[in-house]
Amino acid sequence: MGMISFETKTKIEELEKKYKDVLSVVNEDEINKELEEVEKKLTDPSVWDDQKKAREYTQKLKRLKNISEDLKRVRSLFEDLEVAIELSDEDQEMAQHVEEIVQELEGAVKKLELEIILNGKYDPNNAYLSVHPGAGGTESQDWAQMLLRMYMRWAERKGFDVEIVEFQPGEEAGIKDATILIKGEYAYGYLKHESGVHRLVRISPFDAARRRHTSFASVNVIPEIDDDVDIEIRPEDLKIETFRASGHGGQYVNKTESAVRITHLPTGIVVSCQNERSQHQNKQTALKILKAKLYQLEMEKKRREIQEIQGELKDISWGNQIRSYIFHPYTMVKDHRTGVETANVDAVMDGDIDMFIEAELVYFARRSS
Amino acid sequence: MDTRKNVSGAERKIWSLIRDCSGKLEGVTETSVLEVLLIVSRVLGIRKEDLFLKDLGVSPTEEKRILELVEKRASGYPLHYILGEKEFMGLSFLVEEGVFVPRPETEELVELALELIRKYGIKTVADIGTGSGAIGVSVAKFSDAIVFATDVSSKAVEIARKNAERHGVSDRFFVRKGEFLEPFKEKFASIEMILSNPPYVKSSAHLPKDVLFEPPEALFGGEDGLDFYREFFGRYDTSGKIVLMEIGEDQVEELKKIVSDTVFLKDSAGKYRFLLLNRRSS
Repeated sequence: MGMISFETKTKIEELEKKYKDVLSVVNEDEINKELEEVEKKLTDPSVWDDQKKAREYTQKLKRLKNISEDLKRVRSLFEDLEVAIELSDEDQEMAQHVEEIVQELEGAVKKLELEIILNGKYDPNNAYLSVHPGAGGTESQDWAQMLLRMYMRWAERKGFDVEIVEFQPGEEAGIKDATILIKGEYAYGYLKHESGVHRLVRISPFDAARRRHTSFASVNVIPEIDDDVDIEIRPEDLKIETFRASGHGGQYVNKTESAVRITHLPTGIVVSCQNERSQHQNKQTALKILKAKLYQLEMEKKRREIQEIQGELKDISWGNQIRSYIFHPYTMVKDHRTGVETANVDAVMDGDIDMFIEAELVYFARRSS
Repeated sequence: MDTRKNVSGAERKIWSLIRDCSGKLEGVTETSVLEVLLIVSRVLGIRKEDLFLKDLGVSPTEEKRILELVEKRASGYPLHYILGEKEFMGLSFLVEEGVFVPRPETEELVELALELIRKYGIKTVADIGTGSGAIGVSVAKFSDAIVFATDVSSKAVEIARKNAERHGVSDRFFVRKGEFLEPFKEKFASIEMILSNPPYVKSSAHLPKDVLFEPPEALFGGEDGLDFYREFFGRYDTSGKIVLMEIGEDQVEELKKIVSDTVFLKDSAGKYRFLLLNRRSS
């Protein structure tokens, strides 16, 4: 591969890895077999009696067809690439052709990845990400703020916009509670498996005796859901409260924050939104978060049903520890689900977490397929 | 060894400045850290999100300015005069000394008004004592109605006009200086709905420091806080119109004596906050 640039070689390596990930989740023969089955089902006229079912099948057919075609396309592009690389040693023009194939492959692999790995209903949406410190006061509150910063930096690297929706500072340092809205394509899809408990081991900057401390913080990620979906909220099911100072309101006081708390009576879910924005705005935000929580609840229910059918209880409930960040006595960040680890703690805390995100997307796609 | 991984020197400096300053505001507000975040963002000309995202340095001039503003706030001076804006109905309103800072309860008045505007297809609305223009500009923004607004303060008229421009409703929001609806006498017959957040604070009330910095004519409604209502209902014939006004939570009984056929509504904090008089024929 004498004529091919280092940059292109790196790209090829990345593409091969991604393709391998895709193949670890789907199998071309199985996809084609499934495709045939769905096609056969749709030839049965009785399917069309049930509109909902028919729609499900046609949607499935469309998806399987896309995946099948794209798998074929990527496979043949890789074959072309191999040939072109072999010939490029002697042929300047072939080296140019390699670049072209790589460019085409980048688009095709990306499309395939989204079809297979980021195919959840709300994966393309914006995401609300909340961080809550565990027990331990200032120690874990500081850790929560470090995590919040890590995700905000990750979002910035991706070119996503971030908005602080809620922020309750800790007394000395850090945060007691925070929620951010990450706005960008597939923000929820990328972040959805970041929900869970994140553990930190370090020499505490708050401990004069410089002892080693373990702190915990939990992260929860939900999609931002717009009005046009089938999660129905009946106004009569809502209790909307604004919590203001006791005594006079109105012209008698001028507070910096407005706070709205919404209780969904049938499920008992409580959502609150408190910040310097207007009450009207906070009400809208709280309703959106409520909608997403109802969706999350529904998903949890479905997941448990599936587990019961499969007869196994998998360790993916969000209360579990998903990742450890060790600063002392050695440095390592390790994901307990995928086994991915790195010694470069600085980069991770600076938002370089794509290696974890990519691995967990593949990991969960493989489990559910 | 750095035990707070990757928190750079500049970042650490800005957060310790934030923490130091917030200590100074604990006497005047429950949300001292947030207020300092907002003041720092204002001085640096950034979004508060940037305080987490970027390694921002603070120059000595900026630090001096921040400390000055924090001291000013610590004296009770309203935060929103320092920031120069206050969000209302999801819209940012310019505010400055001489103009009342809009309150969240009044957003509920606007939400109610918008419901009625939609229900009856109301085209013409008045806003008495518009201040920053919060009620009138929001109504113009979120409905098709034309709004005639008044205020006794020339400062308020100027700011309300700016806010109408800011939110692109200058063609449907008209503001003039004067008492009650006097400046729009010629329009009175066409007005279908009258909105107001009039001064209802009792002159003997003990107010927090920051509220005392706001214009007294926007707050004080005489000995019992009811001067405005008495004069308005004495002066104008409201038949055929809807009147929706904010009130003090303890004024219901006294107001019943002034206007008998009124409905009183609570705000979402559970306090009587609005009087609604519907004299529409249809």
